Amino acid sequence: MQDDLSRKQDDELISRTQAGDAAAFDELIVKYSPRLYGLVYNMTSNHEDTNDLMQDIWSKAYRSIAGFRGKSSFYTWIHSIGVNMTINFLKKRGRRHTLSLDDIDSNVQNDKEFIELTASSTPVREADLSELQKRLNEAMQKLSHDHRAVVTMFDIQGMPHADIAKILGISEGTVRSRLFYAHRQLQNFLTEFHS
Amino acid sequence: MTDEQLSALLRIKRFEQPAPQYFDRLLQDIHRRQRAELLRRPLWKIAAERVQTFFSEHSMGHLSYAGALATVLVIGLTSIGLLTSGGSLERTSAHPQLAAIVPAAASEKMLNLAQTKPEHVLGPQSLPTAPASYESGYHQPRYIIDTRPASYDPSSAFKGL
Repeated sequence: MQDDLSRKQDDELISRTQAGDAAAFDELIVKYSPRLYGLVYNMTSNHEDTNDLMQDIWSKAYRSIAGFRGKSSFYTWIHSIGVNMTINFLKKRGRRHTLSLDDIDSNVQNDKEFIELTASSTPVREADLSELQKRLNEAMQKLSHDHRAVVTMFDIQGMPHADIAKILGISEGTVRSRLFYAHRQLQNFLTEFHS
Repeated sequence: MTDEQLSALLRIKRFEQPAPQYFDRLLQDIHRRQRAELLRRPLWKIAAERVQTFFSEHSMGHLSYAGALATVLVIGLTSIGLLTSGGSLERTSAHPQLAAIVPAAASEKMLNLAQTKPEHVLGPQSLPTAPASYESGYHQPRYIIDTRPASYDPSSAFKGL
């Protein structure tokens, strides 16, 4: 997932941060925030919560980076912090789930893949994709936190099983089984909507 | 709905990103938060850091060791002192009668400060009495040097004189 060059750059930025160069840490924030945002947002489905969590995650990372020894990549490390903090947040939030104000972002509507999907003659198109996306968000909220995390990382962010296993600290087999179960749940929910 | 359709639908969600300027603002927010966290740190942490900075700025490595040793000594002595006073309190509390007498005696002492004539707190009945055998003279006082001192013996060197 992460190439050697990127990892070397990260190692250098981490060393500089550990030596007290705060600007180096800013570079890490700029580099990883978009991906991290996607992970947190797709788990919380709320922009405000995501914004708060992003600050919490980076603050924690900054406090803990002195102890980072490079056993895993920074990418894995920061995603682990992100997932764990988001899951803890969701547990505290309980069942008060709030979907984002705009269930589908305006950015998505203009996305190339989105346009292609709506233009193709698939059953998805007939079912009004916007409504389907809304339903999908609702279905995602019905998954358990652990299953939602796996779906977010694999299907939405395109991470390989091995990386997800490292981030969550579970075996690849468990990742696959959670994915299978989560897909079934999502399909059932969306099929109900179709019918 | 097939797996492919579900995957395609989920893939679209990766583009749900905020506007690019959001990340600039996020950086500013994180900086602001870090500054706020610095102000919220406990006083002892700030003090310890200042001491550390002072020693490192003045390159007083040997003094820092001495300072650390002195700190350990002070902390040790203080804790011993606290433990000792805690122990005496515990002992007092273990004997409630004693605990009742001590403050009473102290308060009496305070009240009697104006009196010029000293007063015996303990009566004669509280003093230990010697056994009757001592008074009858049965036990004679025993001295450590019972024998005659050596200087009293006539010196052999002066026998001929």
